[in-house]
Amino acid sequence: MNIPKPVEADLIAGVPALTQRRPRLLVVDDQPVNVHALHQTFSADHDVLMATSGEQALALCASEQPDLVLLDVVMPGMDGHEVCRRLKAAAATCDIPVIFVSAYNDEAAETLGLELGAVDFISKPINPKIARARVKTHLTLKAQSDLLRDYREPGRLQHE
Amino acid sequence: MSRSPLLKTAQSKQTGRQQAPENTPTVADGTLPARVSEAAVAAGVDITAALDRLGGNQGLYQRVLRMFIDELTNIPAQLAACVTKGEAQCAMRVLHTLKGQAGTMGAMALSAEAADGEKRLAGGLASDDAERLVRQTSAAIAAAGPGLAALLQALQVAEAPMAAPTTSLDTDAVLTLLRTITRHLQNADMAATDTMADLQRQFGGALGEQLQPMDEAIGALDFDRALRLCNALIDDFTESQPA
Repeated sequence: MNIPKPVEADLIAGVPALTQRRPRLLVVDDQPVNVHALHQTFSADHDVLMATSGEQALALCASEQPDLVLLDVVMPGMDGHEVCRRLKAAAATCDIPVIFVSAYNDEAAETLGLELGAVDFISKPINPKIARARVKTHLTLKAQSDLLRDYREPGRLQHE
Repeated sequence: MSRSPLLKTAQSKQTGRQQAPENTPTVADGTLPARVSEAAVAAGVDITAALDRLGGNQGLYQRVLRMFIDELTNIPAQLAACVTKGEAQCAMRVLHTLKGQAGTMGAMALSAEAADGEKRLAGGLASDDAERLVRQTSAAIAAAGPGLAALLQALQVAEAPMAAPTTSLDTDAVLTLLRTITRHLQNADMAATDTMADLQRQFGGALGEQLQPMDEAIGALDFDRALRLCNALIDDFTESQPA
């Protein structure tokens, strides 16, 4: 008789496998210096895509399915809050974790971002070590969440 | 884009050197040249923290500092336009962006000044206050400008020995790198900046002027323009190859 393994065992075993490929991050910011800073912070072990507008970010999320989005709030045109709202409203992108990266450092801004569905908030100017640690945490949580969903919904397409 | 007077001053003191590739040696290990450290202190710039955010990449810091100085000159006019229209939100966005950019560059006093203005605007935009705010911000930018320009100049002087050597041209290798850059640009992949740095490092000595517009477009994240320039270079090099 086959005794199913406990879910936890698959989750623990599966995370390293999922993270063997380089995670793909999307950095969204209209200011090149901030994009360069995040690229330098993550390029050693992540693929870093960039968008300089909200519209471009939505298109890239739909086409490239990044593993996580680092999203500025204040941008010309569509701001980061609206981008997050739209990502969370679309079935194809609602599971992509969003971390706001903003020079707003007050409680209200952080709370609003989290209410819109973001998983975390990083203040500018970034501290590279903290940014790396937070992104690593959320990529791991995302991988576990994907695995759990695959386990519960075996017919669902496997994560790449 | 027109260059700011501050930037022109810094550039006019540069004497025909190649633009530094972004993969110049890192300086996060405390080997920052004394003249750069001194210029940073004089400018009120926390260059150690700023370089840490850019992976210690002095060439990249130099590039974004040049862009930052250029953009600073537009901010008083942007703020004044917001104030004229009575749009507090518009002025807050300008100051918020300045706060973030200056903070990333390590220009903490300027960042703090912008943060203060942003806070004051949060309560609305009374005309007297708004005009004072524009004056104060403009004065802070004017005060910061010479120090930032001097820092840029110190960085340019410090990188001089690392300028890319003139190398013989391997057209196939150049084309391979250009095609890789094209692929990255099409995918909005920041690896384009790394491959561009490789191209500069290997062939900047021979191709410096030809590469510069594309290099600048990639640095400014204008990937559409960079892609057009990259494709034009590919056409040029392909045509120059023997049949």
